[in-house]
Amino acid sequence: MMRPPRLCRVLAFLLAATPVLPARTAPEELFARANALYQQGDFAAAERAYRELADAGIDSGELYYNLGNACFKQNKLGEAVYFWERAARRLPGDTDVRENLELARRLVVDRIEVAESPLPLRWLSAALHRFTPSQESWAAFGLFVAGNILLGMTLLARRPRLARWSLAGCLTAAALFLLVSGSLAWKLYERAYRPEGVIVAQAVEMRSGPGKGYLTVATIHEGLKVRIRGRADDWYQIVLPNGWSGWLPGDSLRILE
Amino acid sequence: MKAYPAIILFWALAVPAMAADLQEVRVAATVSADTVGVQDQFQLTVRVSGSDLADVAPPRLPGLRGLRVVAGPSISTQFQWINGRSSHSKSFIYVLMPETEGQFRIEPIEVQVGNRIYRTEPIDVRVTAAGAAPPARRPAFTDPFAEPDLEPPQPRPRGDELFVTAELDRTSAYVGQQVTLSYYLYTQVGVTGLQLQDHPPLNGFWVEDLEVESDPVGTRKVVDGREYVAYLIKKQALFPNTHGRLTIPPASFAVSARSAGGFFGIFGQSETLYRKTRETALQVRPLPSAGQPPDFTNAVGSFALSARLDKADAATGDAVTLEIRLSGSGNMKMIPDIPLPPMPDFTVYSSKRVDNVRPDAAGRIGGEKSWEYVLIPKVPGTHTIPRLSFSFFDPEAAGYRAVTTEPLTLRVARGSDTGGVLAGFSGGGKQNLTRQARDINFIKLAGGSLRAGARPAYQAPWFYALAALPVLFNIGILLHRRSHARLAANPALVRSRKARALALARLKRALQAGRADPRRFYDEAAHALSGYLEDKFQLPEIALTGDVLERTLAGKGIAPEVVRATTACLQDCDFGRFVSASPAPEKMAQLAQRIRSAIEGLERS
Repeated sequence: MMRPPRLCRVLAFLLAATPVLPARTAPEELFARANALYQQGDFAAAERAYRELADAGIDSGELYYNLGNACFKQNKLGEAVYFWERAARRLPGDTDVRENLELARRLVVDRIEVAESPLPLRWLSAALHRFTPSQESWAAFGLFVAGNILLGMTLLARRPRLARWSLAGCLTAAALFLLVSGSLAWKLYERAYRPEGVIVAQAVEMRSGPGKGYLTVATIHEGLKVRIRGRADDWYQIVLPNGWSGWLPGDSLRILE
Repeated sequence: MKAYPAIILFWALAVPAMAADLQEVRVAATVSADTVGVQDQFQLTVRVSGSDLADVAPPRLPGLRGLRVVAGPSISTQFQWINGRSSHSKSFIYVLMPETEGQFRIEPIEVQVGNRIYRTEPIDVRVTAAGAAPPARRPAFTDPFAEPDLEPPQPRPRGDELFVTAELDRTSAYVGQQVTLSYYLYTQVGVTGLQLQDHPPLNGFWVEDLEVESDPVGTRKVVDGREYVAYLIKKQALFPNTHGRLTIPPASFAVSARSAGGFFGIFGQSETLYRKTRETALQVRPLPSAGQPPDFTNAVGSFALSARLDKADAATGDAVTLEIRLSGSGNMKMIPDIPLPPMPDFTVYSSKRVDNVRPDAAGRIGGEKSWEYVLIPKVPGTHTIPRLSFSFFDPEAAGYRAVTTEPLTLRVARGSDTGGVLAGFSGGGKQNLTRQARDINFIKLAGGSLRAGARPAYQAPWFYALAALPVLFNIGILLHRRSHARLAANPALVRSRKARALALARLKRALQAGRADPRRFYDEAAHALSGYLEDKFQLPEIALTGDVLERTLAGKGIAPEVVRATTACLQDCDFGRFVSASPAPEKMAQLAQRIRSAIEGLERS
């Protein structure tokens, strides 16, 4: 399912990037150049350079973070939030990204009252979103291997004491493995079936149906993160953090990958 | 009980008499003119007549649409004795003035006499444009034969001999720009008194009254070819709050004037006249948004700003006064405090604010505003108080301007109150940290991994293959342990499993032994084969001869040619052992090979 678009993107990159990059610029070089432009205060040019890298399929949290910064400096709050959110998914523990997102949230026009979930749930959510799926997959892998080795030791141990200890270790590893792989599975499920998006239009009318003819339910503004529930033609059905739902035209938001 | 007849008699006589008395009361309302000019005043007379008018309440006037009562009621009473009957009449006279042109109706007026209420007939009044009004009155002055009873001669100046005007010094202004509104009285007759009668609120303006002389000096002015004496009677400074067309509604004045000319002028009568100004309008332009400075606080006018410190040298803990002074003309009362720049090295106290805003001789509102702050230096050294800036809109130049002060320098010595070297430890020199601005965090200069299309490991097959390795390892261990356990429980099976390997090893040893002593080869080879058969098929040694063996093996389902080959091998071995041992190595190797293939054959079947 993932394969054809990725292949297309790589091919598109190869086709498109070859004439654009005359001397086959290495991504690191282009990244450094974009950083230099940013530091000189030419945010628009820096954004273009970062986007060139992103369009080339480079999937890096640092790149998205910088791109978000360049957008923010040009007063594109929606785009900035979009790229910072993408960065947050790749660098979940990163303080810079988190702080910028917090600042951006203060600047979002819409204040939406959401009942705060109980503390244990918040902790669980924070813990879940502390790691990337890749990190979690490696942790699950390590726990799985360790559990199996300990199981092997339990089987091979001649001394009952050693067998007992290795069995205890094996069971602990198994429990941790279940936890981590559960978190991973939830995350992958969320990304596949409960995608999120960020409003990039300055202000957009949320309607009761997929078309301009439907009633305006609310007007929402750039930078707001919403959950995508459905799609019809070029319209997305979204759910606001407070549970309100409505339809937005596709060009007013960008889906987080 | 005896009193009742008397009471009944009293009522029987008194009530009809009272009723008859009351029936004679008549109430009528008249106006002095039913067609008037909008600038003219007229009289409304409510006349109550009857035999006894001791208890007449003043009439209750209905809502007069389009007309306004400017004076009254003045009351006149008359008493007549005709044919032995007395008659009273009481007149309530109001002076009315139209507000606008049009046809208006004075609704029935209620008059309470005793405890009864009487109503007058409604009266229609037509108000025409100013100036077109008083043709009916002119004959009254000039025609001595007009009926004096109906229209009593009212010697008074005509409308154009006395009027009031409201004049603006400009027709258009910016929001916040001062506009001066002056009221003038133009007269050709002598005026003895003047009173502001009605002054509607000026919406959309902030108004400041300007003083006029209480005894104004008239100036001669010619209006429409006629000479008047003009007096400035009222003056106001207006500051528009909003843009658009703002109107100054008419104000009315009561003027006490000596009658001019006519027959009765010679008596020098004085009379109150009511005059109204015309509505005037001012076009107010909004302040341009282009070039508006960020610190603009809607100040409009022309200003200067200065700042000074009361001393140039101070010690920490001393009080230094910073005075900021804003002077000029404009809407100064609306100017908020000028913000101080952040001065972290000082403790700042606001101490005094002085407003000295007054109109000048020309009627311009202006003056001075000053703010005083007490600064207490916290840190020794040379400190600079940065420039203060004030922006305003200059309506003359139609542009924004800014005035700034010079930076001020203050040298601060270490004062005695800071406690010398211990200042840093006592916490006395500490100040609260204030955030001056917020910005996003800086970009990341190190790019991490910048590989295109990096696919997460958990999507790759090798990841799962790698994860399967320890599982396979453990399965191996398990299988091994299970077979181990099975073998441990069945020694015969172990022997059977190991039979072949043991036999082949013995055969090898037999070949080695055969090189020195051929008979030992045949001995060992026989043992190897028979041992194999014992182990493999759990046969007793006795069963390994001739027919018994053949039968046993056939009974175990082994192919007859294999059985034959096996027995042949055994016979050859026995021949070598007991009859003649061939020393030829090839013979021995050949036999060993046959034994091996026999074992393989037995293994297979």
